[in-house]
Amino acid sequence: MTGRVTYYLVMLLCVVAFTGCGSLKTLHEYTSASASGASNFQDIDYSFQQSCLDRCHLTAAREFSIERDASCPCEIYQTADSITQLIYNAVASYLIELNALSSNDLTTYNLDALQLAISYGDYSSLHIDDKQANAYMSLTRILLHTTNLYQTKKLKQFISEADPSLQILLEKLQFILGQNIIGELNFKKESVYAYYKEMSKSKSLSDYEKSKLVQDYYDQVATIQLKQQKITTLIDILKQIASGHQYIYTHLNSLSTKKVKQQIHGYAISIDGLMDDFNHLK
Amino acid sequence: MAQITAKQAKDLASDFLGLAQAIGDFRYNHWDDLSTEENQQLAKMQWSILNYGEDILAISSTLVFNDVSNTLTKIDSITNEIRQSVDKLENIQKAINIGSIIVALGGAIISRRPQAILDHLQELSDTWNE
Repeated sequence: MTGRVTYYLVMLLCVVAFTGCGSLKTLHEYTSASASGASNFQDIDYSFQQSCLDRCHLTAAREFSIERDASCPCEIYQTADSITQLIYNAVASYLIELNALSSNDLTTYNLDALQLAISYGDYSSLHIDDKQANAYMSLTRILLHTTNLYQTKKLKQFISEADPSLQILLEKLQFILGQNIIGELNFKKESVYAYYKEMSKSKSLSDYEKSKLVQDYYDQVATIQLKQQKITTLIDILKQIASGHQYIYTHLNSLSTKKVKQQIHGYAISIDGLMDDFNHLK
Repeated sequence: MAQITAKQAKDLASDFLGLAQAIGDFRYNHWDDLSTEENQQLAKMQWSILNYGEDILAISSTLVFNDVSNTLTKIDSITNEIRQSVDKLENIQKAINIGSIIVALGGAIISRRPQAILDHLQELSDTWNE
C-alpha cells in the first residue's frame, strides 16, 4: 500500500516538474534566437570611426592631397563608437547569460551509467526488480526536473528585474543605429554625390571618363545602401528581441499555457527569419 | 544653458544635411552662371555644413550616454547574478555527474567487474577535475 502511494506521488511530481520543463524549452528558443540575433551587430561593417575616415579620405581626394600619414581628427567619432559598444556589450552579455541559464544542457542526468548499474538485476544478495528500477529512474528524472524548475524560477526573476533596463538600452541602440549611423551613411551618400557631381562638371573629361565616373558613383551608392539595409534589418531584429522580452515579462505567470508558448515561439521564428535576411545581404 | 539632448542633436544634423543639399543643388543648377570665386565660396560652405552635420551626429551618440549610465549599471548587475546562477547549476550538474558515476562504481564493485571498476574510477577522476 505504501509502495503504491509512493508510486503515484512520484508520478504526480513528474507531471508537475514536466510542466516547468516545457516552459524552459520555449524560453530557451527565444533566448537562443535573441542572443544570436543581437550578435549581428558585429557584422554591420560600419562605425562612426569609419565614417570619419571616409570623409577624411574623400576630402583628401577632392584636394588631390597625398600624405604618408593622413591625420584625421576622429576623437568624437571614437567616443561615439565606445558608447555604442558599451550599450551593445551590456545587451549582448545579458542575452548570452540568459540563454545559458535557459539551456536544457545546463542540467542533464546521464541515465546510461545508472541503467548499466541496475541492469544487472542480481548483485549477490541485492535484488532489484522492475518496479524498484522504475521508481529509481523516476527519482532521477525528478532531480533533473527540480533543477529545471529552479532554472525557470530564476529566469522569471531575472527577466522581471531586467525588462525595464533592457527596453531602455535596446531603444537607445536602435536610436544610435537607425538615426545616427544610418544618418552618417546619408551624409556619406551626399558627400559622394557632391564629389562626383563636381567632377562631372569638368569640361576636360572624355566621354569614357564621364561614363566611368557615373559607374563609380552608382557602385559607391549601392555599397552605402547595402550597409543601410543591413543596419535596418538589425534594428528590426532588436525590435523583435525587445517585444519578445516584454511579452514574456508581462506573461510570466502564464508561460506554460499553449497560447503564450506559441507567441514566444513566434518571436523566436521572427528573429530567425530576420537573421536569414541579414545574412543574405552581401 | 540647457543641455542639448541626443534627439535634438540628431534633428539638428538632419537640418544641416538639408541645408547642404540645398546649397549643392543651387550650385549644380547655376554652375555656368556662377563665377569661379562664387562657386568656390558656395562649395566651401556646402562642405563645411556637411562636415558639421556629421560631427553633430557623432556628438548625438555621445549624449546618449547621459541617458543610460544608470541603466547600464543595473543591467550589468543583473547579468552578473545570472552568471552566478549558471555557475551554481553547473556545480549541481557536476555533483549529479559524480553521483551517477559513484552509483555505477558501486554496481561494478558489487558485481565484481574489474574493468568496469577501473573505467568508472577514471571517469570519476576526470569529472572531479573538470
